Amino acid sequence: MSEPLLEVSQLAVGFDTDEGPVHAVNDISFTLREGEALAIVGESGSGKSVTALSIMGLVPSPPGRVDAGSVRYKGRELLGASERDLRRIRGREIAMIYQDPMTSLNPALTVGRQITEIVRHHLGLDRRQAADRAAELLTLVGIPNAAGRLGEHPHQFSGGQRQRILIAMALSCDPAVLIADEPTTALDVTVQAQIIELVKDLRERLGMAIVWITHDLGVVAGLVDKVTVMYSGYAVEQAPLRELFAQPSHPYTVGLLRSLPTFGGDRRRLTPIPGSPPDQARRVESCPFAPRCDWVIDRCREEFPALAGVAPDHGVACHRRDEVRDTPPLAAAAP
Amino acid sequence: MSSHTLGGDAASEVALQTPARSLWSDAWRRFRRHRLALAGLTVLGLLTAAVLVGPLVLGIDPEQIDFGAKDAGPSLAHLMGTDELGRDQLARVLDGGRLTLAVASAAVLVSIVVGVLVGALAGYAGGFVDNALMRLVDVFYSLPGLFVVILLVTLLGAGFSTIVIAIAVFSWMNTARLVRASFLSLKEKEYVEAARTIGVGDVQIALRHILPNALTPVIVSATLGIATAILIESALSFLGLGFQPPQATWGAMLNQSQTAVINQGQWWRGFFPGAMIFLTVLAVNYVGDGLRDALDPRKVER
Amino acid sequence: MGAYVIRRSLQAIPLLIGISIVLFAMLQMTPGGPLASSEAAGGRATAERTERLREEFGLDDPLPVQYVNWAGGIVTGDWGTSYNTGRPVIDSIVDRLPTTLLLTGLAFAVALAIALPVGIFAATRQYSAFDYVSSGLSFVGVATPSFWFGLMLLFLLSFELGWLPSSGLEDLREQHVGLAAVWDRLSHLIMPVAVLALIATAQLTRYVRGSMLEVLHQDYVRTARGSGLPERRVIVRHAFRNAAVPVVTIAVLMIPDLFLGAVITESIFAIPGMGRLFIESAELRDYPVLLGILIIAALLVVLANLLADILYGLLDPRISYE
Repeated sequence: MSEPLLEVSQLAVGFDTDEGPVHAVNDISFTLREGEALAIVGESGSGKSVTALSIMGLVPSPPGRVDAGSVRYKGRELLGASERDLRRIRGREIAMIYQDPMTSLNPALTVGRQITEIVRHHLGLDRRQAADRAAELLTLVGIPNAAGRLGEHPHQFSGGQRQRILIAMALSCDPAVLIADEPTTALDVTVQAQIIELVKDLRERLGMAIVWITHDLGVVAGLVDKVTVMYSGYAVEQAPLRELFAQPSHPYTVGLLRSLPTFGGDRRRLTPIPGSPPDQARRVESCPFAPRCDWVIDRCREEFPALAGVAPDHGVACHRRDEVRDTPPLAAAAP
Repeated sequence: MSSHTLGGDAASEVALQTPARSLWSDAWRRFRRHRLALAGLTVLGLLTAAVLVGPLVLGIDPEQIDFGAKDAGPSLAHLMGTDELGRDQLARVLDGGRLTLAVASAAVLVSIVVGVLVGALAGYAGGFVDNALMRLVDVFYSLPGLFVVILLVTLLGAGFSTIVIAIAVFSWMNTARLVRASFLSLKEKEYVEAARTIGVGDVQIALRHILPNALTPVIVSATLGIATAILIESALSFLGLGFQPPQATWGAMLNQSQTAVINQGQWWRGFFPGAMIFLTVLAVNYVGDGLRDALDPRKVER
Repeated sequence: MGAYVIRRSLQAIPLLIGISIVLFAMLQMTPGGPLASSEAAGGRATAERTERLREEFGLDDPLPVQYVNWAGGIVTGDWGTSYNTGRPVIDSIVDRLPTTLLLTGLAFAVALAIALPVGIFAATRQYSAFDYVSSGLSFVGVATPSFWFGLMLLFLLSFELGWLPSSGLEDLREQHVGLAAVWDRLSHLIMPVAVLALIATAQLTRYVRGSMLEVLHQDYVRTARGSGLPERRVIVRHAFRNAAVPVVTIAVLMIPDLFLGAVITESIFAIPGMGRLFIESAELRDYPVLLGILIIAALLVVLANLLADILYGLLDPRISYE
């Protein structure tokens, strides 16, 4: 299967706010093949969630608009497609798990209802079949006594369980692509690990492609095949997983790696990346990371760095990509 | 985004010394952004002025009888027409407006005073006092408002003070609840604790620190309360139970115009007084809405 | 659930008692006490006759005793006798109550029937022309005095155009039959119901729109959309289902206001209902009738609150009953 399942090209999404237009996503491109897992990593405000929502067409349209680019699923263009066409794909071919399990479930409906209505709509199951499927799914995601709990409401479940329910809902129609938008951010660390294990397990069993969005680079190891690092709406580095961890070539990625705590390794100080993300209201004719970069030179402030290859399958948007690449990642910052 | 580097103590000290001054100018700036609210304020201003000095400026006597011009519709000579005695309706409407606005303002004032007292007492004292007062509020909320107002006015006679008290009696509860809520939440805030440890007395704390903040929802409530008061008084007078002639409010004028309108088609007799009520209430509502947005403490200006 | 209802109902009783005391006390506040006006009117009410009346109505007993007698009577079904007509209070009330209830009920139905679709539609098409117009109209509607609206309607539809009758509940001049009878009743009700429903409709529309707007931005609505469900299902089963909870509560609490507001409507359109009876009795100082009506009104308020609470508990599964 060399045909990509999902192809995002030069996607740009903006929001109209009271203070002017905000460019949340600028020129993002990536592909996803069948069964492949991709991580999109970035801090809050980097545009990663908006990217995910744009794929599904879920960006609220009065403030938000797609400025440019294309999103193709199995060759069909999703951007600008009719709501009716999009609805056939949502939940059925591409499904999404959301960040906050506490607010993403309808408090007034039973958990069973929320699952069965999806399968009954997309798959045409009758009430009995749908209920069986719902129980099956809840068991799959690790909710004990699934059949008995179908009649309960979301508030009767813990946060971790609610996230599992959301996962069950997403998987209910055997989608080809699962988009997970920071599914563990709102949960306790121990529960985080459980959810990650669950998704890994499900991926092995069901073989769907995954887009995993997170701000925590540490989470993606062992989970995905390739990584796209986003900063201020731009893709600053894209590489297969191992390559990224072994030879990070963008100062931001290096910074992310350095701020990860490591267990059992040498004890060293955690070095956070100083400063805060830029105000995305103005398009900048320079590298957006320049103000916070340890490697910054004059060129960075005058010329916008385009994404370019530094190795096969490894794109980096930095003027000094080769130097950064050759520096051992855990060494002290080099000018 | 700049970061403020005041230390913790310095911050609370600043809070103690500038209770509400910057809040007002900030709020005024935000209020000005609401075009409708500004329009409402202008209308109210014009109306109040018209009502206070209108008849004088116009030089028309609202009581002047002129059988020659009776029962006439709006014309250049009489912009709002005349009644069966030939009296100019515009002058009468402006005249009546004075009493209407006076009653409404007085009623709101009384209800605010009572509400603030009860609410502050309940909120600050807490415990049994709080419970008892809140039960009282519940009882008053459950009273059939309009009926009780009718009752009071009928039994005690339709004078200015009776009507004012009757209206106030069934609108003080909202203020009480708001004030109590503010007191309850602000009582525990750090700067109050800080003041108390310095040794500031209870009453002073209540007055200088809690009250200014508790007052903001009350201001909104009071503004909207004026609209309600006008409507109640007008309804009362319309039913013939409010002010009796020769005293007239807009509602009373509406009442007196009923036969003229329904049986003789003199629509102007009812249209104009009612339109004045409508415009005033509408303007007050706009202003109240604007105030509510402007004084919302959650919206911080960048 | 049943236990919850019982518990809340029991809580309402002390409230009712409190209300009845306050009402009873208020009536005693007249200068001169009850029967003062009939005394002052002179004429038929000689001192002797007043004395007899006082004895008959137990007005010489100490106040607490009077209260207990009266309250006990209310509970057992003896609501006293009208000073004015001599008929049992219950009869007078039963005569007029259905009319007012009819008006109130119809107005409530109209308000719901308009507010729900308009509010929901405006919320789903936020910033559209429909939204602006309907929001503007609701804002204006809330500020409109019902009696002014009624008077103007009467002028337009009755005097000018002659389309609708101006008073009463039915044609007193001739007896209509069949379809004509239906139109007769209907035509007498249109304007009063419209006037009574005006403010309620405007208010309710604003609440429905506000509640829907809040809900439409919730994450779970996005989840429902993201699952590919049809838009109508998302709006009704997910959004409105949650938006309805506060709306239902507010709507139910509007019923007593409508009941009271009927006073004005009955006055304009000369409809023989409870409101008119109340005003007449107030002018005649007919205390037993007044008290009777007040108790009914208070009962309605308390019942409406109870209903609102119960409905809220029913609709929001997060409420647990202990």
